[in-house]
Amino acid sequence: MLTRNRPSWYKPDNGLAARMVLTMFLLGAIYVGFVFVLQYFFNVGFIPLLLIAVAIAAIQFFFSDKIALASMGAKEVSEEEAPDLHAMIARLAAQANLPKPRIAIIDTNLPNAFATGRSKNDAVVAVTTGAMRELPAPELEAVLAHELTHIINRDMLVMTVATFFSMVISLIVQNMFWFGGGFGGGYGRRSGNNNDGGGGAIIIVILASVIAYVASFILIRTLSRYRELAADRGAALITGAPQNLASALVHIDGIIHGQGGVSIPKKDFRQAEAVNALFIVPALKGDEVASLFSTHPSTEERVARLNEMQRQMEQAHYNG
Amino acid sequence: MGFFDALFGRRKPVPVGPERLFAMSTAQVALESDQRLEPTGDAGICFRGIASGPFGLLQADLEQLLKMAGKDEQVTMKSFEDELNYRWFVFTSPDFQSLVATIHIVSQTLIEKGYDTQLLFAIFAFKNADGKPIYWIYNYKRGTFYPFVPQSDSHDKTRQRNNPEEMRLATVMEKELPLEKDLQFWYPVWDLQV
Repeated sequence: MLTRNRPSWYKPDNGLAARMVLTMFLLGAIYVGFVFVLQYFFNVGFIPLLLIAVAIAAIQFFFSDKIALASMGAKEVSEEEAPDLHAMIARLAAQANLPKPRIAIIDTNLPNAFATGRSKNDAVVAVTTGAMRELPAPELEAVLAHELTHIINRDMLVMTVATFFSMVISLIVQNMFWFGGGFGGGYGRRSGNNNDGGGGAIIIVILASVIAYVASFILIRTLSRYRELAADRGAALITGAPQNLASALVHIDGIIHGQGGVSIPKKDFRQAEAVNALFIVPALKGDEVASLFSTHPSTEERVARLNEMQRQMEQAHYNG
Repeated sequence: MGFFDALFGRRKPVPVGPERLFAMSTAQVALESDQRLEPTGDAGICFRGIASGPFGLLQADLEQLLKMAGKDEQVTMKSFEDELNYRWFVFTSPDFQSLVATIHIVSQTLIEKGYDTQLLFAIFAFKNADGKPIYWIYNYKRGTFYPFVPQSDSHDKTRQRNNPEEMRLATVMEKELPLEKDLQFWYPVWDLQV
């Protein structure tokens, strides 16, 4: 490695890292706050739930790759079955200093890919046949590099931990009816007998649960979007060409959303002109509320960030 | 488009802007020095639907105009109708600046003669260090430029374009050119004779 300063596009994105840390902190704060409320009103009761949640999370974590692959209908392929895909991923993995993951193919026209697995040594990258058919090689490579970055960044582990307490809260909300009586002793038929504080406590816990659940849901989604942006960045660094991923994202968006998507047209200017007169009003784009709840950032935002990387790369090149 | 325009189905004619064409004369320096894109010496204007009678007169007028303007650098002009029934003026000159000036003055003339809504686009041809063609297209109705890079190594009829390279060029030329931000308007132009 060269000893001189790395160009700015190669350095970690500090702003993104800071926002990610803040999100994780807020998420932790909500969980701690919720446990505090729970502890304050009932001394016991949530420990069994916690154990159940730990068990579920462990199962989820250890079997998630199989669950995810099975639910998507992904079929693991050998090197003989898909030699080109294996060669492409092997090359990218070598470049990313990562053991070559297992490879699976999903038979669907939607161009997509995902990565799963507990660790770098036990990861699977799944690609749809649509992605292999529709995306030119440099764009497919960029998408695969994005998935490999998810593996490097241990996003499976991060998101499992992040969603863990959210799962506990949702378990409590769902089972409030069953546990309610046992917890506070003031719920259902027995309420209003002689236990005065019980009913109020239950309501407070229900409220706290709902608030904590909604807040954690939004924060988890936010965290997920940041991890996606980080993976975009990693993919650009592995392939050395941010524009390849940007182009792939636009390409995929166009195929998934059709006319309303962000896409570069294939139709000739002269032939499109007549059609264009009918499409004066642009298709409605998702608003802020929608983006708050989505797991992925908008294609526009991702492309804008990749363009910014491209600019910095070329700038660094000219400045020597 | 306002509410009443939508209600009554009116559409304001989109103002045609040839002024931003001049951005290309300064951008060309950056294209050549930073991106190693050299002008091929060709540039064209594409428009539609002018009957052959008036078009003949227009052509004569423009030839006269070019003769008067072309003092130092000779700009040659040819015109034809393509297979999609669009009219073309294609200009050739070794001097890029006079090429831009010619495209501008011809656009201006077409607008003055009332053909403003017929104007579709202007196109500037470049080649990269490998000799592959790269085009910058100017959309009159939007007053914006965008790059068009055909995938020239494929001789098949699938008409692939190099989207990553187009996006890269747009990104690096952001300061120099009024770029088309909406990717939906990055229309390709195939079977180019420029």
